[in-house]
Amino acid sequence: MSSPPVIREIDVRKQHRMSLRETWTLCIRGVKHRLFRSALTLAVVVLAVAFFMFLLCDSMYQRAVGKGVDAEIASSRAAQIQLTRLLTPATATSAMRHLAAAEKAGDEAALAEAASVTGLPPEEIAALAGLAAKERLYTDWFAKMPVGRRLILVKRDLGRDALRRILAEPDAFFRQLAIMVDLRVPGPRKADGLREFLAVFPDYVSRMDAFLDRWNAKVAEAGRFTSARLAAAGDPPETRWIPGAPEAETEAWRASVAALGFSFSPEDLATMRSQLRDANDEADLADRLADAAFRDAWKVKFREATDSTAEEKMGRLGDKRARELLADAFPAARLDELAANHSAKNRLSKLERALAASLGDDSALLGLSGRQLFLLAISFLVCMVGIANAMLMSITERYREIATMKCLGATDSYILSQFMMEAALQGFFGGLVGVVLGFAISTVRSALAFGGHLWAYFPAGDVALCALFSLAAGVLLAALASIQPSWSASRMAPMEAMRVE
Amino acid sequence: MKFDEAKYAEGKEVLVSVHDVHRTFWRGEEPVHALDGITLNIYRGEYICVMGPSGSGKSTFFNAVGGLDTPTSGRVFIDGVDMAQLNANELAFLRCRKIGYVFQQFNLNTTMTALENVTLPMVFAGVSSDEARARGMALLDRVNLADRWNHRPKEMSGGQMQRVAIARSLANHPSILLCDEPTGNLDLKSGKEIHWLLHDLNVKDGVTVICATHDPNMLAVSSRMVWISDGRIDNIAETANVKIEQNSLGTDEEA
Ligand SMILES: Nc1ncnc2c1ncn2[C@@H]1O[C@H](COP(=O)(O)OP(=O)(O)O)[C@@H](O)[C@H]1O
Ligand SMILES: [Mg+2]
Repeated sequence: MSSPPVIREIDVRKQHRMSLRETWTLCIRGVKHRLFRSALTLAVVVLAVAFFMFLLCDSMYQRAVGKGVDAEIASSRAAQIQLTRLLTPATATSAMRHLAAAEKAGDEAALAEAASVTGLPPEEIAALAGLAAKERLYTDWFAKMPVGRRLILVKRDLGRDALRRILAEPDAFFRQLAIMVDLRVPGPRKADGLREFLAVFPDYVSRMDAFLDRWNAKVAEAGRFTSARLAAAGDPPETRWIPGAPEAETEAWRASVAALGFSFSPEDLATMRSQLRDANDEADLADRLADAAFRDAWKVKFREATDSTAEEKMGRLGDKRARELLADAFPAARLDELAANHSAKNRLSKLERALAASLGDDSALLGLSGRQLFLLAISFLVCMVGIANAMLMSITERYREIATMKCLGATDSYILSQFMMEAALQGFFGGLVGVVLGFAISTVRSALAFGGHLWAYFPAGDVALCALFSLAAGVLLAALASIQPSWSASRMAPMEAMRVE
Repeated sequence: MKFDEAKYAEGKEVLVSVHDVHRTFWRGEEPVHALDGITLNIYRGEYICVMGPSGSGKSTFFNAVGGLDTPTSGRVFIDGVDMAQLNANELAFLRCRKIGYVFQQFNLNTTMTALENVTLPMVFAGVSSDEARARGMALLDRVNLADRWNHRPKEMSGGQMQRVAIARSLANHPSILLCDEPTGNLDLKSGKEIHWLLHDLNVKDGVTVICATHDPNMLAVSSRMVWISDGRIDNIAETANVKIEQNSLGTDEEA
């Protein structure tokens, strides 16, 4: 036999490099046949994405409805809040909270009012508000801290007293704090931020006291106006006088209070009048329902065996018999209004209780609590494993096809990118279905829980963001999970891959 | 009659040279010598049949020559190029343009039409889609399936699928056609069609055909036969010198 021939000049060149477009064209050619054959992978992606979408949407809904309900409740109490503010002296704590809230919400009007009432320059008010926000931050931190730790750090003190205690023995406090490694000081620059605040704390307290003195002097003056009016009207409580007095008279009162610097517009007054009227009527109605003679009359009229509660009676105000009984004090239309008011308030307070937790921490990522984030991370992992396994199976199934393509001249990188593209496509379509599914489930659930409030405060923008995020997560998960199996399949010698049945 | 290599090689050009190739698989602790020192020259324009019973190493030989597997030792040259020197990318180039592969199981892409299957290697070679289409149709016409260009494999018979596979293997004008039992899954009639098609390609188009088979019908069209058993060459003979009788051929050295 002959010896091997002399090696000729190697005319073997580089294989053609497939562009992404060429790869894409080839990939989608078969994908419509394959997409639904790989039902398992698709199902895993759908479930994973649906779960993300559900968690995200759910927390978005809770936050949106929670914020809306909070605002509704605040506005339904606007009259009460305004009256208290105008007529009762502020305390160190209430002033701090007021300024801190204005600072946090960027409420320029509230800061301007503080300046005009106290006559302090706006810069001083802005500086005080910034410091008040810090005081709020640290005192809230003590309040929420586990009791054991708080006892060690600041004994039984809370609020400003806690800060005073730290200031008295800063070394002891910071030594203990350093030991509690997992306890994180809130705010920028952590413990250093707290130190900086403590350095200016005494100065801040004295400036705040000056603010309080000026503010409360004006409150006392406003109180004098009010009591003069009340005395002239025969000294009813202001909650009776304001809705009952002629408009010109209350307007004059408002103007003299506003002249002191308080923000108290004619619209504020109008709201106050109508809210106080409602509140008075509700109180009268409640008195009436609780009255012994009335209860007997009701019992007879409704043929009740046992006395119904006031709440049950409220529920039946639409009844003709109830209207007859109350006709002397309330016209039928007014009764309807009162009943509607009452049930709306009931719904709101129920929602408020249900949503109390959801508004806890504004700073958390995407508004998710730590527990939800943990769940999300775990489900991410589980989905990753599930999708990786499904991908591995669907790629092993196609070893022969891969080997054949390599025989026809496919490069390793082509095979890798084709399979990753396919996986990403599966992630995309599975993700679409998952997004719709997760959206549907969370929306139905929230609609059942919140009713019309969901539609009133529907966070469409946030939901769209969640959908994008979940979809991206699906595509990314699928592509990531397919890297390893496609990589090893693309590197296999065709002969090995061909033998796998 | 003894095969006289020197005389046979006269005026012929070596296209594939296999030199002392061994391929050992490990079944646990125990080695399986699928190829046990094969040395063979294959000349341009030849139609060579590799015969042997099942398990004799035909497919392993096919893989070694086609660059689908790396021999344990020994060297394979194609057109003077040492296969062991090529990196993955160059191997892909070689498989794409120098060698056409035909498998027993056809290995068509089931989600693609006949034409798409045939043009796939052209896509890998970077041929423009218009040209690929024209060439693909010409190739399908060559195997008498032009009217079936839009059919998918599951709408075709085995013989038709194998003809599509042959058209595909010719996509980038290879100089070598490697066939591993191309008629193994076919009935007699379709098998005959395939071997006349291969014969045609060999004679008219000058493609070198290397065919592993134990179908005696295929022998009639070949120019040379090689018998393998237990990974060694048993015997070589020019077809002209062998009297072909059905069922009497094999490794029993009567040639
Ligand atoms: N990947 C492998 N692993 C282990 N043994 C193998 C492998 N491939 C082939 N063999 C063994 O090598 C021998 C030759 O196989 P093969 O070349 O497929 O034979 P043929 O194609 O002639 O039927 C057989 O004994 C077979 O079991
Ligand atoms: Mg075989």
